[in-house]
Amino acid sequence: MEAEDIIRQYTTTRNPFRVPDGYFDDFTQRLMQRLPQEAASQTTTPRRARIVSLSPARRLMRYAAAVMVAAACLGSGLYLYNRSASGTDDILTASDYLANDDNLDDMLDYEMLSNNQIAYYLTEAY
Amino acid sequence: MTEWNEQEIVEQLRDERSRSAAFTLLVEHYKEQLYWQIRRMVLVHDDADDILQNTFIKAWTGIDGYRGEARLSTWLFRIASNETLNFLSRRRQMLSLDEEGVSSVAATLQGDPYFDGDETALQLQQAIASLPDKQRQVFNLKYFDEMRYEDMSSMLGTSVGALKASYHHAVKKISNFFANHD
Repeated sequence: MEAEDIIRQYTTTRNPFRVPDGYFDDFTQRLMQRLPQEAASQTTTPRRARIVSLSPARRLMRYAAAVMVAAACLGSGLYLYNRSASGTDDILTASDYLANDDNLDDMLDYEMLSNNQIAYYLTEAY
Repeated sequence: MTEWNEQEIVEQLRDERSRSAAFTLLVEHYKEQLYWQIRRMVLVHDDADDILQNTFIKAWTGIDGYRGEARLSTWLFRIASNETLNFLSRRRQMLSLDEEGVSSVAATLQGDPYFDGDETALQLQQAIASLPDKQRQVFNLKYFDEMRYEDMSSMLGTSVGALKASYHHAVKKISNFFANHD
């Protein structure tokens, strides 16, 4: 039996979720009453990007951290290259890695991240 | 004007004099569809209500940025989707949705006066809640709304291939959930 058919056995067409009486009837009016105020408060205070300048000491620390990260990446790369070149260790294949549900979830999550969402997360605005 | 004519609505939304009336029609037209898409993700009515209101408020304040490249429904759905995922992300920072969290879905729904599903419906919601947010969104849109992958792709800005992979993985996990709970 297909996985989808198994789920259909547990699903009815009836929607189990309800809303308070008259919710949809009142919604538009309630919302429209909020709009002018919300629009005014957001349009009168335009956001500006804050420019933060780093002190020379902090800047130096940033550079040092960047160098260390680059060195660590290079070292790890060389180590992995030598290991795979020697052929003594098992290599984790993509299919092995994706056999784990959590890894597959992560991969699918990244795959589905859109530019629109990245922009949204960075600015918290559409 | 009472009939829905998207082109006319777009033109009226661009004109400040007719904007408010056109926006009222927009809200009337999409409120239920958006509500159910949000509700299936957040489960609780009050949360869905907040997110729906925020969605329309963001649409209202960002209306000048709507360039008409996408359909109004696509544009609104993207805002609703971002608002929903953002809400879930914030909520997750407060409580982690692990095994205990999935069980708490059952407790939440059982105590919710606006949920009247039976034991099976409750189990299905538990199974769906165990999925990562974006997979859950894809599952809901495909399984309950029967949305085409192509439409979903333009709404979510994701490739059709990724959506198909995501849906099939979600279906497999939910069927496994039932197999393990029988």
